[in-house]
Order: sequence, then C-alpha cells, then structure tokens
Amino acid sequence: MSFEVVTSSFRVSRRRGVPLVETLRIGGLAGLAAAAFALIGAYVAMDKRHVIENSLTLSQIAFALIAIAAGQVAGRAGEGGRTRPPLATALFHGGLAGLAGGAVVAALLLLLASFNLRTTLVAASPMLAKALSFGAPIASPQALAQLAALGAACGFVGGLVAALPAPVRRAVTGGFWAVLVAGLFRDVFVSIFDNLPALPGLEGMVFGSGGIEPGGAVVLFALVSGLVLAKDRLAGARKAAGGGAASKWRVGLLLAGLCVLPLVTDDFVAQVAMLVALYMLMGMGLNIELGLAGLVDLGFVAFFAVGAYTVALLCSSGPLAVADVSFWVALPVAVVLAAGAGMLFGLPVLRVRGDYLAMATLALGEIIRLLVLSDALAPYLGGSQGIIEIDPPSLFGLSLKSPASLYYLALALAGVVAFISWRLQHARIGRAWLAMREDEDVAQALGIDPVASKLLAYTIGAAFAGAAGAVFAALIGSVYPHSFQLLVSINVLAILVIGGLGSLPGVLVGAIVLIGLPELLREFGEFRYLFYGIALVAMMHKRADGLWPASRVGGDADA
Amino acid sequence: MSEAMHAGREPGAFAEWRRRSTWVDHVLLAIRAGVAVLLLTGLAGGLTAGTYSLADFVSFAVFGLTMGSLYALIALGYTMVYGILRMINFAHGDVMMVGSFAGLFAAGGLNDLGLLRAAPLLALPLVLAAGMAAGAAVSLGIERVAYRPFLHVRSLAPLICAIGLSFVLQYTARGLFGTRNRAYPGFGWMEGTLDLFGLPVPIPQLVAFGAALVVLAGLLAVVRLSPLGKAMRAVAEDRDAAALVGIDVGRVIVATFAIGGAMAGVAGVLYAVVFKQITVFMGFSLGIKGFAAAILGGIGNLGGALLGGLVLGVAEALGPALVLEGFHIPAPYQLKDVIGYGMLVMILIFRPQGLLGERLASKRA
Amino acid sequence: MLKRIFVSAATLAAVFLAAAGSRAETLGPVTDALGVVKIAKGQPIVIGGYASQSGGDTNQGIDELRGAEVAIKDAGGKVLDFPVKLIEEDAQCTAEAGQTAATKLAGNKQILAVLGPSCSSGARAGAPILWKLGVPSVGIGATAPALTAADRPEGFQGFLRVVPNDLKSAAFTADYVWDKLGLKSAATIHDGSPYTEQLVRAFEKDFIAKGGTVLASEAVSPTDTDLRPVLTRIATKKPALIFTPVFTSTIGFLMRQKDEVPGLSDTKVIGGEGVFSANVIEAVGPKIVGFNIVGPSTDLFSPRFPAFVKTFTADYGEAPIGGFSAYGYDAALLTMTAIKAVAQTDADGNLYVGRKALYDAMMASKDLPGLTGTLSCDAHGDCAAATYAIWEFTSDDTASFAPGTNPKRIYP
Repeated sequence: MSFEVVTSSFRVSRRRGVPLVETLRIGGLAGLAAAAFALIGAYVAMDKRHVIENSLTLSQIAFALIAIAAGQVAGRAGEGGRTRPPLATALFHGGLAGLAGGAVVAALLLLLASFNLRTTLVAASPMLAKALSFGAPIASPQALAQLAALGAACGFVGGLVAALPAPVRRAVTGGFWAVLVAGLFRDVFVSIFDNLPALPGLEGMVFGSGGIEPGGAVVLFALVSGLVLAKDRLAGARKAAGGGAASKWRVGLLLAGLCVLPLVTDDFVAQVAMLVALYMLMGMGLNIELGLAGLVDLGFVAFFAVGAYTVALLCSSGPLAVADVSFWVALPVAVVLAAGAGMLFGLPVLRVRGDYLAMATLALGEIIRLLVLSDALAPYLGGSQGIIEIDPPSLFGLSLKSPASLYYLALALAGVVAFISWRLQHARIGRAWLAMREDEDVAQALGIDPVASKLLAYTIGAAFAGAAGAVFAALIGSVYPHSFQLLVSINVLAILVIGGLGSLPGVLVGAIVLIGLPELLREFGEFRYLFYGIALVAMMHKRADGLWPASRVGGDADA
Repeated sequence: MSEAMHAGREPGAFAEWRRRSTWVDHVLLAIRAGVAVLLLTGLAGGLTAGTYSLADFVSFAVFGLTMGSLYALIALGYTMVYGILRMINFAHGDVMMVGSFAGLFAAGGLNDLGLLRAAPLLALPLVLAAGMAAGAAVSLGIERVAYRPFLHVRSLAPLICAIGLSFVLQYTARGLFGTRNRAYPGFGWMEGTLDLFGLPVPIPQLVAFGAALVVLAGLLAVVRLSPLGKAMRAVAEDRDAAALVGIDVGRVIVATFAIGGAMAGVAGVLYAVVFKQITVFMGFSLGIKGFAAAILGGIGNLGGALLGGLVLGVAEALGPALVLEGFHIPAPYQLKDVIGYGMLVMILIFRPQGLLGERLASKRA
Repeated sequence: MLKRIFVSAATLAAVFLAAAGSRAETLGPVTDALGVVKIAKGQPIVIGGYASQSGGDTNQGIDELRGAEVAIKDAGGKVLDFPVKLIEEDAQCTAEAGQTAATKLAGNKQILAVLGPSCSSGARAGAPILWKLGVPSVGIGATAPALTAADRPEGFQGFLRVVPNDLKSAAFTADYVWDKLGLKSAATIHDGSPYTEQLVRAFEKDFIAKGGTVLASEAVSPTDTDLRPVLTRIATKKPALIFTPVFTSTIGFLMRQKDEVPGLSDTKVIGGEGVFSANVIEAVGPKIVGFNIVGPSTDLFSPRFPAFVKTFTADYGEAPIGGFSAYGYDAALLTMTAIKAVAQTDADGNLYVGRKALYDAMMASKDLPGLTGTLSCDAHGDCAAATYAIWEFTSDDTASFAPGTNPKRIYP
C-alpha cells in the first residue's frame, strides 16, 4: 500500500518448457478455467442469456472465448516468442491446446454424471450436465467427443488468429468485441435507437428481445472490422505527422459524449452516468490527497457521508430535519462541513505515515459509519432507518428529480471541481504536494510546511467528497447508513489507480470503467463482483500505471 | 502527552515547549486531553455502574485473549508480507476463509470416520493441516497473480490486484460451496467447559488459544533460528543486497507467502473450532481486524503482530463493558468496533509507528 | 455551469411536456389508461425481479428470486401458453442500488410487473420509479409499514407486497408472549438492519402496551461473532425472554453461546421468520432443539412447503437459506395469476396486457392459495396472508427440516 514502494532490479521469470508441454499446460489451464466457470454456477445462469438472438448464449461464448484465448496463446507460445508464428505451427498448437481444454471439460462432465458432488459443490447439478452435453444424451460418448471437438475447433480458431497479420487480427477482434458488446448491452443500444429520430425502424432488424439478431451481428462485425482496418491505414499514414493532438481529441470526444449521453439514451444510462459523475467527484477529491499529496486514505467515504447527511438534515421534510431549506443553501453548507470534517480527520493523523495512515483513516471512516448507524444517535440521525423524504433541488420552479437532470448538476459540479483541481495542481501548492509525495524530508528542507500542505490536501479532498454526498442525497431522496460502507472508499481508491494516479482524465476513465461497467452488468447479480474482481486484476496486468497515466513521457502532468 | 505532562512541572521547559510548538501541537494536545477525559469518564461510570461482576470481566478477558490470538495469526500474514515487500495483501482475510472451508471438509471426512468424536486431539492436527495446506496454496496463487508481476515496478498495482482477488475468492467460494452458513461438526470432549479457578471456560477457547500459541512459537523459532528465517530477514532489510550475497529472493518471497497463508489457514480452522459456523464472506471483516492488529503492533514486526492481536482482542472484549457502559447509551455493544478502531487511532496518534514498531518503520513506510 | 443548467432545464421541460399527454392507449383488443403491452406470438411474457444478490445480504436476495423461479417452474414455465421470462437485477440492500436496478428494469418496455426488492430502503427508492411507468411491484422482503400505510405517497401506489409488514408479526409475537406464555419481561436484540430494528421496536411497543416491561433493548452488528458480552449484559437484567428477529449467522452465534453465559440457560429465545430454514439447524447445531421462531402459518403452508423445498434443492443444490424464498414464490404466483386474468389474445395469437387492468387485477387478488397462506390484497397493497404461528425446532438433523415435524407448530 505504501506509496514509496521499494523498487529493485530483481525480477522473477519463469523458465519456458518444451513447446508441446507448454501447449498442453495452457490447454489444461484453460480447461480448468472453464470447469471453474461451470462449477460456480455461472454456466447454467448465463445459459439463459442470449447474446445472438436464439443461437448463441453468453455461457457458450464464454467457453468459446476461453478456448480461443488458449489457442491464441498456445499458437504464439509454440513458436516461443512474440513474433508472428508460421500458420501451420500456430494452428497445430492452438488446436492441441483447445483439445486439451475440451478434454478437461469433458472429464468434468463425466465426473458430474457419475458422482453426486452436490453435497460439496452446490452448482454441480444435473442441469449443468445437461447443458454441457449440448443436446446429446447426457455424458454419452457422443457428448464427450463433442466437447473435445468443439474445444479443438475453438483452439484452432485461436491459433489462426495468432497467425494473422497484426492489422487483420486487430480488425477481427475489434469486430468480435463490437458484436459482444452490442449483444451484452442490448438494452442501452435499444434505448438509443428509440430516442434518435429515424432509427426506430432499424431496431427490429438489429436487436431481438434478448440479444442481437444473427443478421445484425454479421453486418456489425463486417462494419467494425472494416472501420478498424481503415483506421489502421490512416493511422499508419499519419504517424509521420506526429500524434500530439490525439490526446486532446480524445478528451474532447469523451466530454462531448458525456454531455449528450442522457439525452439520447434512457433513464438507466442517465442513472449510471450520474453515479459515474458522483464517483468522479470523489475520485478527484482523493486524487488531491493520494495522487498529489501521497496520503493514502481508506476512510474517504466518511466525507461523502457528511455531505449526504448534511443535505438530508437540511432538506428533508421528515421528522428528523433540523431545517427545511433549499438544496442550493444546503449544498455549500455540506461542502463546508465536509471540509471541516476533513480537517478534523487530518489533524490527528498528520504525523502518521504510509500504511499506518491507511489504517488510521479506515478506522476513522468505520467509526463514522458505526456512529451514524447506532441506536445511540438514532434520535438525531435516524439510525438504521435513515433519513427519508429529502426534497429534490429545484431550479426556476422546476424540480430536478430525474436522473438526467441531476446528472447535469453533478457534471457541472465535476466541471468546477476539475477546474479547481487543475489550477491547484499547477499552482505552488500542487508542486509542494508533489514534492512531499516524493520525499517528505527533502520537501521540508526546501521550506515546504508539511503540516499546512497536508492539511490543505485533506480539507480540499473532503470538500469534493462532500459535494458528491450532497448530490447523492438529492438523487436518492433518502440516506441510510448502509450506503456508506468501506467498499465505497476502496472503489474510489481503485478508480484512481486504474485511471492513473494524479491524472484528471484518468479519474474520468477510471470512474467510467469501474462504476459504469459493473452497473451495466447488474443483471449478473451474484457473479457481478466476481467479474469486477477479475477485471481489476486484468487491468492492472495490462496497464500497471493506469489507463490514462499522469505523465507518459515525463511531460506535463495531464492533457 | 508525556511531553506536556513533563513540561508542566518545569516552567522553563514549558516555556520552551510553547515556543517550539505550533498551533497543530496545541490542537493535538487538546484532542488527546479530550479523549483522555472521555475515556476516564466512561471508565469511572462503567466501574461505578456495577453492571458486571469481576467474574464477568475475567471471562470477557479470557475470551478477548482467544479472539486476540486469532487476530494475531491473521496479522502475521500481513506483517510478514509487508516486512519483505512493503505491501499490504488485501486478500489475506479471504485466505483465512478458504483455509476454514478446507478444514470444514477435512473435519467432515474425519467425522464420517468417527475419528473426530473419538480422538479429537488426533483429529485436530489433521484438520489444521488441511487448513494450512489450503491457505498456503491460495496464498501462493495470490503471490503469483498479484505480486510477482509487479516486483520491479513502483505502483499500487499489487494492492488493486489483491483487492480484485479478494472479490474473486469470495464469490468463487460462494459459487462453489453455496451461500449458506456451514458448521463444523463437534470435536468430542473438546465441546465441554472446564472449571478454571471457579470460572467456567469453554474448552474450545482454551484449545484455540493453546494451539495458536504453539503455532506462533513454532513460527518465531523458524524465523529466528532457521536458514530460511535468516534469509527472510536479510531480504526484509535490503532485497538487492540479499540477492547480491546469493540469497534466492524469489524463493524467500514464495516461502513468506506460503507461511503467511498457512498461518491464516490455522486461524480459519481455530476460528471455526471456537465459533463453529463459517460463511464465505467472513474473511473480509476478520481480515480488516487482522490488518488493524498488524498495524497496532507495528507492521513488519512479528512480535508486534502477536501483541497487537492480543491487545485488540482484549480491548474489543472489555471496551464496551468498561467504557461505553459508563455513558449510559442505548445498545452499547453496537459500538464495539468503535472501541477497537478508536483505540487503534489513539495509539497511532501517540505512537505513529505502532506499539513495537521501530524508528525504521517511519523511514520506510 | 449556468449554461449546462439551462440545457438541463430545457431538457426537463421537454420531458415534462411529453409526459403530460395522456397515456391511454389502444392496442389490439385492449384499451388501457396506463398503456398496453403487446407480446407477439412466440415471445415471452417478461417479469422483472430485483433483490440483494451481492453484498452482505446475498443469502436473502438470491433465495427470494430463486423462490420466484420455482413458482414459474411450477406453472410449467408458461402463462396462457406464453413462456414466462424473469429478468433479474441486483438491488443489494441499499437505496441507491435499488434505485439503479429499478431504473434499469424500467427501461425494458416489455416488463409487466416487477418482483422485489428485498429491502425497504430499496423499495422506497425503486417502487416510485417503476410506478411512474405504470409498472406495479410486489415486495418480497420489504417490510417497512410505511410502504403500505393508508397515507402512502402517490409513488408507492404501485407497490404491493406478499410479505406481511413488521407490525403484524410484532403484534402476534407480543400476544403470544403475554397472553399464552404469561411472561412479563423481555429483552430484544437487533442487528442494525432496518428490518430487524423496526420489528423489535414494534414488538417493544406492543409488549409495553400490554403491560410488559422491556428490560434491555440491545443491538449487535451482523459481523459480530462473540455475543457473550452482550448476552451477559442482558443476563444482569434477568428478562424472561429474548426476542431477536436477526438472521442465520447471528442466531447461530447467539444460540451456541447463550448457555455459556450464567443466568441465561432458562431464558427463552424467540427468533423471526428470517431463519425459517434448514440452514439455521446447521448454524445452531444441537442447541437448536427447543428454539422457537415466529413464522407463517396457515393450512396451506405446512403441506406445500416441503414440496417447494424439494424442488428448490434439486434445482440449486442447497435448500433455501432464509425464510424469504417462500415470499418470492408467492410474489411470482400473484403476478402470474393476475396476468392470466387480464391478458387477451387477438386473432393472430398475439397477447395484450393493459397496465392499469393488470394493476387492478393484482390489487384485487383475493383468496389466492399461495405458499405462505391465502393471499388477499387490501386497499393499500398489503396482500400477505399474515397469519402467524410459533414454531419449535425438534431435531438438530439438517435433513429432517420439514415444517410440521421439524419445526413443529406449537401455537396456536
């Protein structure tokens, strides 16, 4: 956790074995992954979800993806390097890995049919055995052979993909992901079709009741593949001209998308966007504390709670209200109180460093939650029953009740906060924070007052979170202690790291990925956090310093 | 505070303190004084309220020690990994959960054989072994996925990976074993109570406490005496220098994770011996407590983990009865964790490096 | 910033104008004040469901929607020969997750009605969103009395529930303790969840109104494992009974540790319906024998529940974990029965359901034989059978769970 991780030149590398053994190992691992996917109950649950209308379910695609990935890795590993392997080798190794994986799943099927495993493994059900037999008699030789053959075929495809020239490979994978995303998030796209004029007619052709229509899938695949190919060509031509403007373009595009999003989609997307905006606010707050000043804070949710409860107490028409004022009066009060809480938190733990600080803040955050929940304070804060009937903010006589309107409010606040953050970052105090983050003792020697600057970081960060809390209370219309779990703090921390520490656009990207995505996956209920966990690990492996790191080539902090 | 009290007796020193201190020091002093007053008020109120007998307090304390030894076992895993990698393993609590489930299946098997009831002293080590093996295996997996790829980079990536793996472990276990509460079968005569100086103490508590101490002693012996322990200490001091003198750093890291995981497995099994029922979600909150214990004792310090665990356990067991009772608030036990966490924050304010943390800790952390 | 606010205000105005128009609609053979849903031949009838499927209350929510799935399966998976599809969303047990899940379900124009959620906080935020679009919701675990109070706000009009509200079960428990057992003093424990807190408060109120004394009202947190200190505190007050409607884990710790606290061995403990399940037998172990809980009771419940548990176990590998799965079953049953009553087909075999007609039919449900008893809705959406009994566990063998024998009904 400590920010100043001791780095060293030391590395561990795994020795690579004989290509054939390596291939079998990859295949076996893939098979085990597929078996685990089946045994946790995900296969049966997702078998009901069609990605391609009436033909391919999500489970089948997941299995195929595992086999294809194994084939691709094996196809490349067969050659022992990163360069493009010869077609025959890739196909052979890919197919072999797929076959091995299929064999493992077939073994699982046999096991399921022969023994009752359900006393220990609750998902090892007859339904699973039936689903894995793909229509053949359950666990018959035919079913087993079928699994192995399907595995081999998918592995073959994976090997083929590995052997393709890079631009073609990018095009094919791009097309594939487009179809998958369209099928998975059908509802979102349908709502866009509904809201844009001249498009509703197309909806029936592209989307069915659960997923994407087969015809639509083919067209989409071709379209996106073509686009990717064309873009590759263009990018190749433009490379010589230098791509400094690309980053600005991306920010602009992202911002434009954010502004029009709720207008063209439905309330659900607006609601998700709203939550993303709230986490952006919090993320920018923590960014000041952690990203700039290097203060690890795991009790950040406390400031969010202070903001929310302030608005609740000031704007509720319920019995616990201390006043019934307009949201616009309560918002600054909430921000000031949260900032005060930040200062109060910051003072005692100022001398605590690194991981000790993380634990101290975590403890303070939990103390706040427990106090709010307690029966002892229930007469003032509502205890577990929370505070209800919070009036929504109104503007020019219009009550801002819909997620979309509150989203614009949160977005406007986020804009203000981003501007403040940006100014701070590039001001004297921002440089002081950075210096302190790098080495506190040296910073102090340079004449930076560590106490004042740390305290300022805490106070400002808390104020941002307080603003987020205020909007949150207005959005939900009620506040309950259960909304302020430690998990919120952890999420904000993850947003920062995934986005890229100290980077403002990183906060935006991180919030979209870590809050938006799980929300869109809400239908997978019990498996949602599993996928979230896997995504966290995968993203860190792909981009250890974040999706949008603060400074890529030692240049300016952000775009 | 000691500074201030000391200063109070000598006017010269007091003036010196006033000259050198800033407003922050004054506020901190006020906070410390406020907390002390609050604590003393609660304590006085709690003791005069007379709700509990002395026997009650003793039995709370005995229980607190049991719980504390479990916290200590979990804290060891955090502290060992931290000592070597300067990283917190957030998934460590879930390693404990996996160990507990492995123990459950082992105990179930032994129960079917009748061994559990007939010879609990023989069965318990076997169950513990299952828990240790599973804990070590999962811990090694965590090392492989979340730590090894990031050994040479400077980032918070391992932390985020560990958080991700924590979710993966919880929800995979949920999918595999179901959501329901599972209970360990009874360990024969170990289920009774023992009269200790007129105080009835449940035997599982004594067994858990004893087993935890034995395991801890064994671990300390390994770290102090064996070549592996020496290598571990060397790597903790300076990884590059250790590599230069021919220590296989990779193996030491792996061994550290394995031992930490095994300790968590022991904690998982002993937890179930005392409390009987386990769920797939139990690891998170216990993990946080273990982390707190490790920090409390001074992270990176094995003795500190032990002390921190025991202190936290006893504080949680006695705190509500001693302190909260005095304020006459409704439902004081709801605020049990406030006592534990509050004490932690206080100790960190007074001693920012934890109870047994060295000066070194503040330099590195 | 101002500019953005203007933009949003303009958007809003447009939205309001669009919504101001009448929603009455005629489609096929049906005319309805709130709109008509057409289900083309071969397409499924879509019902939504939202419950806690992740986070601390996972057990309860997964169970509830599984109960609903069993109901659909029992109906042959079909209503009027149209397959029934249940779209499930995770509502956790928080207001914001309930709101998000409800908003997501509201986006699907084919959804006729929604089952859930598990928690009152989620219902408070979610039900109005659904009702704004004319979609009724049937609460499964949301027991806060305000949701079906006579003066409930317009947004909750579309909310019905098959689970009784807290007040009814509390009143029954107080009656039992005072009238039948003749006990004059009690202690309560809740776990900080709105459900248990509200229930013990209602019990305390009723019990005191009868003349009883509440000697201690304690609270623990759901992650607490060591309940000895709090039990010791209760023991010093010497209550005759402890009422604690907490969930399986806490009941497990409480019952196992109760006898280790001097002075409590004779104190009776009454639990709530949240632990009406086989799992509590495993959690508590041998001490379960003689443990009493308040649970649903009718002539229907005892004979039908074992068959339900059997189907459930066959499908999901474990028996229901908490007591709320049966309410999930009833919520689905009530909804499907109402759909069957109001849906009309045209000549091509397409199905049409009027939203207002469906809502009216659901609200008019009467004498419907459900799993937890006979369901009849009152004017404010309370449909629960709400007849209670005290059940006593008779054996610590997990496999022996069967309402009627273990637990056995001891009152009335």
